Amino acid sequence: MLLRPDVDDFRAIAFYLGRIFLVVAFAGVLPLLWASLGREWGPFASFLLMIGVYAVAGTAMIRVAPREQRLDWGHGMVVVAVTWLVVPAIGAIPFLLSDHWGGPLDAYFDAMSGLTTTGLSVVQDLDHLAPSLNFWRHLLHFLGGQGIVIAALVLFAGGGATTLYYGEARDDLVLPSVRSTARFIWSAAVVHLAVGLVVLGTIAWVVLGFDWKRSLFHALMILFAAFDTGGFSPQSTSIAYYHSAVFELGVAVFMLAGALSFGVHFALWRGNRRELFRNLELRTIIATFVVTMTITMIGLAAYGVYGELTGLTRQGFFQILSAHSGTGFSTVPAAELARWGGLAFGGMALAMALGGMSSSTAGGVKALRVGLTIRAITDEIRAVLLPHGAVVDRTYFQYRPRRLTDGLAATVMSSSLLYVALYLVGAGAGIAYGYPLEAALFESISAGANVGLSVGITGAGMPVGLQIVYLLQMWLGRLEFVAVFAFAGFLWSIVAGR
Amino acid sequence: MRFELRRRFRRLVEGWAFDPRSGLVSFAFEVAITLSLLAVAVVVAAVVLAVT
Repeated sequence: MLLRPDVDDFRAIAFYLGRIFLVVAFAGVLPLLWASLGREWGPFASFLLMIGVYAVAGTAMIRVAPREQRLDWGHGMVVVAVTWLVVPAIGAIPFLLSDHWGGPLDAYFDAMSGLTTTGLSVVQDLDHLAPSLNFWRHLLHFLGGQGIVIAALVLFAGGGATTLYYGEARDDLVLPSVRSTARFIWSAAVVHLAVGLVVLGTIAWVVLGFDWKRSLFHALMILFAAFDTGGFSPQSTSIAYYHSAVFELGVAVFMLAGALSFGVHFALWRGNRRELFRNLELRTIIATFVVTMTITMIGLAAYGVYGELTGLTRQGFFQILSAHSGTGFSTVPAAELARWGGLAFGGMALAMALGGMSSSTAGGVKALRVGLTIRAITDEIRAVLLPHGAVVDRTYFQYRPRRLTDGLAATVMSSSLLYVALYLVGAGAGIAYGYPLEAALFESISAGANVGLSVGITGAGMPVGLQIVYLLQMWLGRLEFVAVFAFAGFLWSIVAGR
Repeated sequence: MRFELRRRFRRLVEGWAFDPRSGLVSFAFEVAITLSLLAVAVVVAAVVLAVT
């Protein structure tokens, strides 16, 4: 029997939502400053309005609950699900008030795409977008990738921190407490940003010949999108704009860094490098990277456009790393990508669907689930082949030895199946709107796995129904279903609970 | 109010006991993995081109 939520339930949810809104209001000051320094008064006014809405809504919700409330699991999941629906709605205000988005849905789509680190975009005339608005698009990647809820936990972890942490699709605590784990996640991001600014800024300055201001701007935008596996870029031609293999290699390092779990980052920071090579998830992602890259390269060689070693290596390596890490940067236009077809399409689609590591900023099924599924299947086969009564060792190494129980295997496989269903539903919607199967499936996987590569379906003027389907896919894929299902259950309990 | 703000600030700044230099080790590892994958990509591309 479902219990209908009472006033205290709503107060608890409102209290934490309010806190998160205040954190985002604080983050909104950064593009406001950027707009004021650049004398972009139109965007300045829109950022002011956005911050005001976040701050007023946040303060009002905190006032609803006179004291700190303790969250149970259900409340925490609802807070996370609603946060990821409403924060982009308010964050879309500056987009809506500019002339670069076709309407409220387009603005919301890009804000959701930014926050979920997807990177699909319906912006118009991106190359002439005000820099402060471009900064806000990329900052949404950073806020979403690092986790806005995690940011709130850093500032004011209280009762309910654990449920919020897990609700935002984080699997493991790398440190004993949620607060210290959240701090580590933000520390790792800040260090990567600092190192990346030096590395990519220097490449842009020395190799590309940009002046220092332009170098820093492009380095910062690309870093937000690469380390948080987002995919927005400051120019409409994505990474192809830079025409530089050195720059692509620099970007590749940060895409890979974004796809690694924060557990791996922590192990590296603590000097546990040897243990990493025993790590099931790291082994899995390296193996699937090599497999999908090989498939894609065979397809590209058959396609015949990249007939030289350098061209095939450069295109195959960068596109697959972008797809597998869930970033969505590209060095080929969408129309060219749509023509790849065959095995190249299959390799790219598979890489996008599998995604990065768990507890990273990447989306997709995740390497841990893939590794555990393969392990569960091979264990079953070994059990069949071994003599009757023989015991199969079902331990695996993931930062420490763990046991692969039947319950864990069932959970992992059902989560993986949910992702497959998500991809197929989106593909079905694309086909219903008249797109070919391959293109519809590619775009659907890109949205559901929060990748951002496009074969041209997503763009200004796309069908509204399909846009809503992709929006829901981005939301579901980012939160890995549980928080969204809990939110649906909460809504149902309001209607049917007693 | 001032005490509350001070308490919150102290809670915010304490406990950031991560050595940023360790982050450089992490970055070096990521560079090493990327270059290793690039080397694999070169070998795979060479084999694919030789075969097709």
